[in-house]
Amino acid sequence: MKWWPVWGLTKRLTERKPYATEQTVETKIKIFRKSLHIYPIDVGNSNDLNLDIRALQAPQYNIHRFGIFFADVPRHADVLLVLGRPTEKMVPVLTETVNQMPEPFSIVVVENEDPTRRKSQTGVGIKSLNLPNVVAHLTNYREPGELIAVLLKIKGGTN
Amino acid sequence: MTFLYLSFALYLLGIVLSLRRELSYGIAFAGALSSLVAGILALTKECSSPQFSMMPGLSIGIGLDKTSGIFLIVASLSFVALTFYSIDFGKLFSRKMAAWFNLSLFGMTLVISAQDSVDFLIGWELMTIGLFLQILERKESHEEAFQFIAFGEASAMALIIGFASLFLTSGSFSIRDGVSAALAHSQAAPFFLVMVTLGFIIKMDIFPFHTWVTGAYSKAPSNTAALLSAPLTLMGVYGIVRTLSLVGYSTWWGVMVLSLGAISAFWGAMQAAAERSLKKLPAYSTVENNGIILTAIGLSAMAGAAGTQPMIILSRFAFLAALFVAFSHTVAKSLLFMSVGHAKESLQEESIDNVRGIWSNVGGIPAAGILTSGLSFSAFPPTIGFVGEWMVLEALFQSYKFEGNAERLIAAFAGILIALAIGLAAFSMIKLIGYTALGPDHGRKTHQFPSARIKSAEMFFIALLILGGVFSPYIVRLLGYSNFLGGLLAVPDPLLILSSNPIFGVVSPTMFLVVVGFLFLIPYLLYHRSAKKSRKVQAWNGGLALTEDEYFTVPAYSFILEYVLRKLYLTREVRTGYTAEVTNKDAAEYLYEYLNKFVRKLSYFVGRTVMNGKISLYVLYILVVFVLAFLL
Amino acid sequence: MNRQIGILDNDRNRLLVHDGSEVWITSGKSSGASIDGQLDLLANRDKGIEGQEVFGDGVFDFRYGPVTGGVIESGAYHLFTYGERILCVNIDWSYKHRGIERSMITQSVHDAVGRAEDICGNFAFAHSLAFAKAVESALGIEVSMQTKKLRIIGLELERIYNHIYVITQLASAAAQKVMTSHLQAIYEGLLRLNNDFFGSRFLKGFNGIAATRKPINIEALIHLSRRINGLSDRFEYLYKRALESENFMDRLHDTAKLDSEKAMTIGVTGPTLRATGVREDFRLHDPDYEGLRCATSQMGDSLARMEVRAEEVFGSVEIISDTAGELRELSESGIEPVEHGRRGHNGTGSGIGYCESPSGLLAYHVEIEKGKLASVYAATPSLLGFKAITESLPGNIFTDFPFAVDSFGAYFADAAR
Repeated sequence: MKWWPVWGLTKRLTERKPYATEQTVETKIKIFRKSLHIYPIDVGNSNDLNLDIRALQAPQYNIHRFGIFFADVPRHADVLLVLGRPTEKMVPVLTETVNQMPEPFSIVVVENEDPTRRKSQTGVGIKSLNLPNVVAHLTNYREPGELIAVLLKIKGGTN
Repeated sequence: MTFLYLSFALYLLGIVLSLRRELSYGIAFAGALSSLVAGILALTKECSSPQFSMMPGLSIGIGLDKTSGIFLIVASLSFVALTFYSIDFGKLFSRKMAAWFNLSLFGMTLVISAQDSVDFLIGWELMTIGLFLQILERKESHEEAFQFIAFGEASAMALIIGFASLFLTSGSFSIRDGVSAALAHSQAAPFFLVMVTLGFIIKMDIFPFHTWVTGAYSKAPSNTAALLSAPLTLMGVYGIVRTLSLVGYSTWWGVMVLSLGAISAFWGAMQAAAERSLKKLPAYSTVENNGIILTAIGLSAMAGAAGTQPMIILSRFAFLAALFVAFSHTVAKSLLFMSVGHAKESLQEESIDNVRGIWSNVGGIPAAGILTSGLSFSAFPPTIGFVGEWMVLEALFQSYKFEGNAERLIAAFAGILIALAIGLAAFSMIKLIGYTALGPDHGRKTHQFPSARIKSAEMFFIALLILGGVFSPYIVRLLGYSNFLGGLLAVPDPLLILSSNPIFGVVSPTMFLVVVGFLFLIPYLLYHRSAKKSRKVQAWNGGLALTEDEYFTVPAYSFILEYVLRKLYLTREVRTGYTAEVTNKDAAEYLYEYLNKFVRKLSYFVGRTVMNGKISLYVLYILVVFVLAFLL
Repeated sequence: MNRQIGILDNDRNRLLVHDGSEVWITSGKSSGASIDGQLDLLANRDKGIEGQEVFGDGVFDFRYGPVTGGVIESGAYHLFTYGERILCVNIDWSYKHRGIERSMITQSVHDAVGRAEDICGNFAFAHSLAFAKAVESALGIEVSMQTKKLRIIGLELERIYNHIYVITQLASAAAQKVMTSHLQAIYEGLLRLNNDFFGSRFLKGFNGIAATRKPINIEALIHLSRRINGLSDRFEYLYKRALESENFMDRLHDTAKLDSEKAMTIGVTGPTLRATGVREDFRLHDPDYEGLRCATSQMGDSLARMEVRAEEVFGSVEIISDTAGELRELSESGIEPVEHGRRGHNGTGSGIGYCESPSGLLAYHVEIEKGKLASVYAATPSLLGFKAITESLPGNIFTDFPFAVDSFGAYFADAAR
């Protein structure tokens, strides 16, 4: 039997660097200063965004210290992370999910497809869906740190 | 007394006028009203008819004392609602049925008002036969009706033997004499008690004599099912109470009845939790509720036999609890069968899965009926079922007061079983309410029939269930148990029900309503008036609406429970090719299957060896039987 | 035993088959039509696995997806049940179908490598590798030794982080909170390591046709070797302790069991097949992988699959260390410079390329006309992985679901393309 929590505490895995982004975030909601619940929805990305969101839960980022939590259902979430470019069949599902979000909510669109290959892209452009409350649209997402910076801006606080 | 005669006369008139169904049920309604009045009058003043002396030691007569009065009121309330309900509901069935309905009401009233065992047995048989003929009303119900009459006759046989032994001991047929010391201490008393108790608990559907209920209840028309479930089992309770008034309390009897009751309550609740049929679930719930009543009576007997002052208080409280559960069960179960029958006839469906959405496709009142009665069976305050089950548990909590360790242990285990039973009952009632009354409407077509009187009967009982709970302190006073009422802190006297004296536990459904009203309902209403309009969306299910075949089914709701208790449920998961299902079996049925096989084998054997066509052997057989009968 | 993995024409005449060591094209008639069901599965691969149904009292279709907290990707599991017990499984991944193969047609082979990576982001390297090999085989291009070695490193890195991801998912499903957190830290460490050496957390945009698309600092590879060993040691420590945790093992043991015969009939490859005791790995037949230890296990349940994955992690770490050393020796001896960038490939031809992706055989068949793609067929491991899920899940209960599904390492993006 090992004292796992104690062993874990000695590892100091959480990194102490500031997360910054140039991405503009258009939000006026001030009530998420203390806690922000996010729900990621895959609308047809190539799965690397999904796995990157999983990595967001890693101790290196320790997002709970910022008061950012994953919700289990969109109905419990404040921010909907739309991951990727929607396939045609996911469009109604996405609109229904947005419809289920409690007010006030924000949507962050995350895409990572290479912009140089725009003409061979599949799926539906997210702009054509006219989703409400899209506060940020990350077109060239690279790593979770960017996303944390955006979420911190939505919270309206500092880390 | 006039009202009692009047109701008998009206029931007879109802039988005669059964060609006009509406009129016949209407007359029965008047009869029920009049017997209700008779019952109320009997609470204050005993009454009796002239006695007809038939032979030495046997004089026949009817009359009402206070105990009869209480039971007559409860039964009559059920009659009033059921007869009124049947004016519309009876149109779905044949004319004969009205006659049999009247006949069984006549029988039951006679059972309660009988002053001697002969009247009692006549009433008992009339009631059984009337109900038997009603079960036969539907096609293909011979097997179920036969099961009913077989158990009914077994009960009657036990009663005849019991009353015969009573006559041999005391030389009297009267069942109104009060406790006689000679009888209570005679050698024959245990035999009498066992036989009579057997007779009554068969009617109360106590384990293991409950196997007929599922078949008979589900096949019978719903007004008959309500009669079978509520007033008929009440007759069993009445019989047991009467018996106790004859021979007094004894510990061994209390322990026996308590154990049977607790096992029965648990077994009934457990089977109800896994039941998928709309009328079998209430049937098993009947087994459970009668088990609880019997447990309370058993506890009362155990405590009463101890004889010390605190134990007598406990005995009286347990008895009050039994009366309350009997009352709440009669009202709630009648209501449940009325509402379920209403829905079943509208939708022409048998299983809980197929009658979803009663609220929107059948109507708000039957749905509210299922909801209210279900909440009452789940012991939800402030319904009367809550008061009754609280009382039973409070009484069982006081088992530490017993002197002997064996009694303490037995009562404590009974308490565990009852608590489990109440929990499982809530589980099954949530299933019933959630799927039927409040379930999603799948747009089924309903079969229309006039239902104004059906709905008013349902509304009457919904109100009675809630008001009965809220004003339960007054019922306690009416029953003559004022010493269990009091006041404490902010609760004014006599709105508080006490479970013992000195105080052990208290409850006040009246104050509960007041507090909930002030602290919850009024703020909620205020909030509702000022709040913004809320957005309505469909249930969240992975981003898509549920399709017809994606709804959670009733068997799935209880499968985990069945699997965990698979040794008790005898659960089997059957998979053949592309079909799969889960089957359970009531273990008690094996007993009767075995009995059935044995009897068949025996009759085959007798047929082969004795009645094989040889006249000499047959004559010999008759001779032997005659000699045996003569000797005995 | 020959197993079909793809249908190249509409009348099921030209089939892509493999026998555990290589992949080739055969005529549908000669391969034995006993596996019609298999061909139906392959023909329906844009939509999912359907057609199985169970009826009975109380049996209903429990749909899990397309958007749930439990399944990350958008796809729906249809679990037929009478409550808790899973009776049969249909899987619908049409939500994820993007038609990437079609979008590759008429593109140049260089542009198409990136599209192949987009089929499944976490198998990006395997996809780019199999596609590149197919193009190289079609156009008859030779690949330099250094590029081959770099490809081995990329493929093994991908294997390591995917396997660790699967084990993290299993630990998380079993509520092994501390272990999950540490595994997540290792997983994030591996992604960062990918980023530091190959410029992408998911190894995208690195591999190209007959060359790498980016330059790489060979000197830095020694650090790679050191870092990956450090992470592997941390993983080994956790894994050894995980095997002692009875309630974790209990969830995995006997869950979603598959025997070797069934696994061969389904045609599933990779760790799922090796966990049933079959020693089959396409790397065994690759001369570049010398002395490969092929990890197998016997039980065929989720635990066995996890064991195989963990063993492969240790194996891959060794391969990376050795290969990095060899690369340094090559560069020090100054024999071949590392090629990178794109060169004109304007030939015509058709070819097959395949590799052992983290979840099994991944094969591409391409036809090229004057440097532009005329047809592409990707036979992905997840398709057969999902088939294995539908075959092994019935009889288990709902709570086994994450332990069963995650252990197969099958992804909707990979299967739906």
